[in-house]
Amino acid sequence: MERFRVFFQLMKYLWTRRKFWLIPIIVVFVFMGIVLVISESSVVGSFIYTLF
Amino acid sequence: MYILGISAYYHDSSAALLQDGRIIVAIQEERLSRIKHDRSFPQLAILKCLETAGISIADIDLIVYYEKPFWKFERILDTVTYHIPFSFPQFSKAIPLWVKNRLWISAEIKKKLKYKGKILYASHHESHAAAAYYSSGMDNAAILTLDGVGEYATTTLSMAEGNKITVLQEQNYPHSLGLLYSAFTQYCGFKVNSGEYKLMGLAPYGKPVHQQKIYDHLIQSYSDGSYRLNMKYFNYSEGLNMINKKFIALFGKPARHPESEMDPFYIDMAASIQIVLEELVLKLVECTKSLTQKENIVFTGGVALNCKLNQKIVESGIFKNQYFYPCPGDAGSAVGAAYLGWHGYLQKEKTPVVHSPVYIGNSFSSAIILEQLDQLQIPYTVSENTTAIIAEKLAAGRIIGWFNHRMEFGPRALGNRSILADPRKPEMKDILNEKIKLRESFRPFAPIVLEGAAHELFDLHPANYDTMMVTAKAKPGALDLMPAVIHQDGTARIQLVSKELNSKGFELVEAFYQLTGCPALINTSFNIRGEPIVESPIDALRTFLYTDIDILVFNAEIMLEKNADTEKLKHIIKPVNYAAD
Repeated sequence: MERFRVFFQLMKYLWTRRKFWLIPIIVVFVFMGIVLVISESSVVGSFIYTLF
Repeated sequence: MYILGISAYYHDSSAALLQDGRIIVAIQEERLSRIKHDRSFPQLAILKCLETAGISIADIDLIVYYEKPFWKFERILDTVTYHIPFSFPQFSKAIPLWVKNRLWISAEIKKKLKYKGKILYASHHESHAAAAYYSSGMDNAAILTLDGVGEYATTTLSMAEGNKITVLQEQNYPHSLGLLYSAFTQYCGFKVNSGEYKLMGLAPYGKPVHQQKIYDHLIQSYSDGSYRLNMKYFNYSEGLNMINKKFIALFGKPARHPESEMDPFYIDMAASIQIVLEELVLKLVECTKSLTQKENIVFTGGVALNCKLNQKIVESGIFKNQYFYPCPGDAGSAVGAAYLGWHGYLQKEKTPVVHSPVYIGNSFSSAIILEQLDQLQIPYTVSENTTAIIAEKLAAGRIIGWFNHRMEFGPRALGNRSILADPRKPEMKDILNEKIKLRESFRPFAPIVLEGAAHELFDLHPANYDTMMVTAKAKPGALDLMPAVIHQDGTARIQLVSKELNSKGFELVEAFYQLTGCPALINTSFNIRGEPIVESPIDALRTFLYTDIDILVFNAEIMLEKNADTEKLKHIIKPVNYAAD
């Protein structure tokens, strides 16, 4: 439930920032991200992970 | 009232606990997990903070996370989208990390800590600035924050008055002095985010012959202190490296292979970028002065770990007083986040700083240590006069592991988790590098110096020299007296010690001074290469057993000498192989 709440907060945040164009991109990215998480056994950042 | 500050997921996760306006404990996760620069959720550190304070999570009134995840996520999406399709490698790494945990910070905190209260988010640079300013003891100051990047900001000029911090100007990603320095760190064969201090240590050995080329091609600076990087030479906005082929073609040599022999070309490169960084930051300091008209400056963010740069700032005399926060990287931001909960959200007035922002880690009582040693059946001696005995041993060339009460918070060991040695012996630097620390031979050592004697030996300016954050020029005579701690360029990264700051450390250096006439000791962190600084007595015993440390001292009263009996311990305490940093 908390994750749904965070997701809707994020949508609200983007709306407030008037970054509407990012909303479909986020939906697609989050979906692709879920696929990548599922397809990998572990998620590790690269050596420049501090950027992201 | 208790406020918990949390820094996590990027590098050096940590937790800090504030009680009624004062930070009472702060711990980096790496010290407990024993994973260098551990960036996972700081569960162990949080539990240790609660245990030290004698409270439970139910007693926490507010949790403040050190940055704003949505801002950061927005910046990442902006960047990835802008660089499509070249940004796919970065996308494929970044998005899973975000989908897995970074986007759901509040859910993570609530689930992992079983916490039901309020969670707030401070901005990354505000957390840096708050940690530094509220720890400084100053009532008003200009604050310059420089790091790689947080959400968007990479450079922030702020002003603090009373309990209020106001951001005046900021420069945003991808233009970042921190990332510029990291790009050269990678080019010279060191790890980004951990090898920057090696590049700084290497710089005095070289000549800044590439300085002009850097100005001509890589960075454009302006009279108001702002700057722009020429992004066609950098790859960090789209790929998984800091630099690209054009950068390599510009300088005409490939990036140095990590651990390979050090070519003078890369040493000159280190010298060049160090000078460029110093010049650009001095411009920013001047700009900060004209913008704020303050007499005090607080300098923080990861770039503030560059103690050579800090020396230039104090020597410039642009500001009357300087303060360098001893934990200016992301770990220190947990402290800043907690302070922002108190002063920013709750609008509470500033309370006088009554103790050092360093000695706020957890501690082990002598009773607990003795119990552990007895369980291990290790012979030891207990004496109230240990400092005099140890001073004699140091003067005789012995190397001491010094474990004393509360652990330091921040990257420096400042006399509570330290390896100490005699600085009068020039060969001591090589002995420590090769036999104890197991690290590169060019890396210098820092001295812990009696505060009262430092003016005779070093060129000091109005700044906090008590945390190894600033190098100081050695005066004639210092090199003869303590050659092992004077770097190639005639400076030393000193730590001034006084009775008020660290009574046992002071007593020991004082005893050594009375014996030898030298008011300093070599003070290096109690760890080997790749290992986080020791946290517990067992960590200390392990490092003691598998290095050439001669004597281990706990809480300035329990002493173990290396002998056949301690060798037997190797059957019980096994070594740990740490990856090189």
